[in-house]
Amino acid sequence: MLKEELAEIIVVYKNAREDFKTLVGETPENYRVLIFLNPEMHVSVNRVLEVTGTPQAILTSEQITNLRAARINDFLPTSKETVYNSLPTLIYLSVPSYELDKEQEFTLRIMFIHAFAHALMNEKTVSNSARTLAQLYQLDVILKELMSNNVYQLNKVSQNKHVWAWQYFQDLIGVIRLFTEAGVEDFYTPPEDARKYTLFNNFSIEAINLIGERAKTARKKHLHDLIDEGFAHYIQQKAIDYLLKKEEYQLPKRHEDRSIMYPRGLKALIAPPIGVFSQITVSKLLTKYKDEKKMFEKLFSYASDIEFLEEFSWDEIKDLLAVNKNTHSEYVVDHWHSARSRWSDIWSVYAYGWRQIEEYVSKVYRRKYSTFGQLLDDNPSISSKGYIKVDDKKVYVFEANDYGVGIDQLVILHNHMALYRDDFKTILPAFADIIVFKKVGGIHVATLFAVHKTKYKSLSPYHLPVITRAVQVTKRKDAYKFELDDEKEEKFEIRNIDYTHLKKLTQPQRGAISYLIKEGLFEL
Amino acid sequence: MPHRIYFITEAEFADPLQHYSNQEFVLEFEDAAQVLKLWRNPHLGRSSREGAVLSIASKNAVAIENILQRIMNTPLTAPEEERLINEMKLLRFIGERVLPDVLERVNRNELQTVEDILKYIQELLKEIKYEGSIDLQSLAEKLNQLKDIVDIEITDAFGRKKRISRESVMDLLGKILGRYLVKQISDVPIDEVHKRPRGTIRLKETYRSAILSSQTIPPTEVKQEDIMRIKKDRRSLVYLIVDMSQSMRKTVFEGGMSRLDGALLTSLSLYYYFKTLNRRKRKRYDMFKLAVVPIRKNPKVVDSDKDMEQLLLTAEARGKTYMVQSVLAAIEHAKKQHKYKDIDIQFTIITDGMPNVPSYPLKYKTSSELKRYFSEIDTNTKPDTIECLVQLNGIFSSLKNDRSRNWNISYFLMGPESLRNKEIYIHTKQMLKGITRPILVDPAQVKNLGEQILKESILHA
Repeated sequence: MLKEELAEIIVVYKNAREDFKTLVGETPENYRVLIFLNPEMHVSVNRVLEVTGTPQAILTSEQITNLRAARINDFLPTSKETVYNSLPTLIYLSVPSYELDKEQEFTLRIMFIHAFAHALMNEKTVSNSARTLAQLYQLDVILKELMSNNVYQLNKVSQNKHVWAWQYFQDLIGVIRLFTEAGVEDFYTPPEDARKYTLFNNFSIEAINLIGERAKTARKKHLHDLIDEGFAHYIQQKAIDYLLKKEEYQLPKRHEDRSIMYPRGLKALIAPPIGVFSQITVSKLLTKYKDEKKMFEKLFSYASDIEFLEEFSWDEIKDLLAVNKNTHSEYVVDHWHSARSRWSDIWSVYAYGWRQIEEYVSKVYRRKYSTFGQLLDDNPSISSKGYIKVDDKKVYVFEANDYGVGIDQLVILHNHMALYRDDFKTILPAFADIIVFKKVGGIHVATLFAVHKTKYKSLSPYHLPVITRAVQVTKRKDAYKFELDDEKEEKFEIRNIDYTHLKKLTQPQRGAISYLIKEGLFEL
Repeated sequence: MPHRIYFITEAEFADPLQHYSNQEFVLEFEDAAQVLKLWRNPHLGRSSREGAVLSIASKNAVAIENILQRIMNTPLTAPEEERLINEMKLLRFIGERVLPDVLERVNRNELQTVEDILKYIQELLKEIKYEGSIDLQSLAEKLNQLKDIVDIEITDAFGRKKRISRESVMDLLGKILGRYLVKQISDVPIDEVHKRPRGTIRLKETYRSAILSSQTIPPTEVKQEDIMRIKKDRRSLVYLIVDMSQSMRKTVFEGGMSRLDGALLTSLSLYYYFKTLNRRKRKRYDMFKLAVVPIRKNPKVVDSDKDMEQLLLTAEARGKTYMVQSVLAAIEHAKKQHKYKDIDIQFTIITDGMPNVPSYPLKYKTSSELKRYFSEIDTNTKPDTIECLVQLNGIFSSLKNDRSRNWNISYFLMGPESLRNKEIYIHTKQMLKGITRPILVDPAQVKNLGEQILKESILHA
């Protein structure tokens, strides 16, 4: 029944393939289109892809909570199309409506053509990007399956005593993925023969190995976004011009300057800076090679963005960025936004988008980065900063600027950091105390997660006597001199704090650490 | 390429933003004690408040990132766009200017109650009144989320979190504990005559009814509708007389829970147990009424939600054991309540020691037999305590003989099994001779105290 209702969409799809054949000369053959009848699902998939890089990755519960809050407040972008550049290319769309009016039909047709361009690029390119993304997708699906099977089994074996497993495994995968991807790989894997003792060990061995493999794969991926987007936007613009010229569709013109008013649904494809910049760069390549066919061949032959950018001199690229940012600023606000909004409010958003592109381009061009791993290492969102020794106990210090790692997730680091390999025998009671620096919005905070010795038999890995404390990292002189509790009962005498194993920390960060150690570590 | 269409349901492609974990919250008695502690002493919740500031901050930061994307990628109507821009400005302002300040104040223990927060918001708004770039009205609304900071955060043993506002702590705790008690009690199998608060099951009639409905002898099953009870139609007033003397400060087991905490939570769970029970049984009047009488100087009978809350918040284990006075207060209260005859009054005393402040003048006749007992034995017990025991015995005996109402007394003595050979147990037993027997409760098992009280005393009322 639904097949009939989707009939109009299928007609548009077929037309789009025809158009693509006329415009490019061939069509992609290896892709999947997933049309969501429930647009909310599409929004969620789109966010997961944005946050983690693949649509099937497991988010930490912190990420889920924050994204859900944003979804409730209707803050999430509802882009009408999401393309995952793997092989096969995965194209996600929300169904616009079962009966399409002319404008919706045009929008959908352009979206399909845009997506086909991505698919064709993924099939033709010599870069490893598409293949790597396909591998990552597979690994993520395996991890998800592994998680649900193990949770299911664990609950079955133990008569629902392990209700903690879902959340724990989810955070385990999410957190370790973030850390290993950023190059912090010190996670403890139980020895191979521990597999047979508990399902939990078995799961940890499998999951941590898989995540390690995933990180290695991800880091090798070529940087290819600019080429992907450039090609797709170039074809898309070509298609728009072609369809309008054929006079199959009439688009209204603006009263003031006679410029075309595109359907609102195309905003996500036309307005953002990435499309503008990449398309201009591809057009510039065309002026260099004159022939379009030859230009396409060239685009397919680049392994990564750096090869593409090196077709031009740095000055040329700087010019491209500056000039187009300027022209973009002149029309984008008028064309896509309400006249009631202040220009500066809206433009600051786009300027932010441009700044990201500038950063990316200059990094890639100047430092000759070709892989994702190199880019990550340049400014790692997560890094290890060594440790402090408080008497015999070590406290490990990290900087983690990723919204996936909240206080709750620190329990994973506590339970699984391999830095403690010498100190512990089984996987759970690692008793790793951790300090994490994090920039959240406008605050720079240091969080302490300390665990005291358990006297009781814990019911779950969450069932620990935990202290968490947080303090701001600031340069102010009077910081960390708080008048604290008058009734500190039995405060331990700290004999010996050794700061020599810390690396690359600022003075305020050191201040925060010593405050946390003094005030937090031995509370309770 | 052949084109195929498949249909996939949401069961096969689940929402990636679903929470995987099971959200059912398991609150153990020990956790409840922790909540009670945090509730009574806002000083202790600093780490939870810091955590709350961080979680607001990261929620806001994620929101800002998404709003940026939404403005660039999504076709928006003018009012929608206006809303997003305003939200973004507010969230930025809060993230960059307000939250750092709030975190510092939380570190300094300055923001501990809802009042502190409201005062802070007021001052902040006054301070930025003339900055002009921000809509004060909506900022004020947004800043209200800061109230969450002082909520009490509880994590159960399985890692699930819940934040409760300070005002609803008693209600939430009471409901959870009360329901827990209901569950514990109804676990009893129906295979013999069981006395239940709602009436006694009559085996003979139940059996007969089961035979009729299943048409076999013996009946193959007993259906719920076959169960016959004697309906309880008398009112019960239950007085829980709880010791709050110095000794109740002792901790019972790990987690720093004191005997007092255990006793308070037990009172709360019973209080709510009867509340739910009354609600289930729709009658003109409440079948049960529970009042708590703290054992302390100038005892006051606690019989309303407000008083109960006050008691939980302020109760302290200190001073001597004014048990005689508390029992007298309870008697006075009970006599005022209902003048007519068919009413059950249940005194349940929870203590971990012996009374030591006698009351003068006492209107009740004391037993010479008990006095003789004490004078004949060689004991270390102080004369005041002995006097109290004699007085209590006198009071209880006269209650037992009082025909105007049906008085029941039960006496729970908190302490380990070894107490049985100590004077405290022997004396208490002697004092209660002919009235009831003391029931020894292990403080480590304080979480089962509620159940024990129901089974051993109230159900027989």
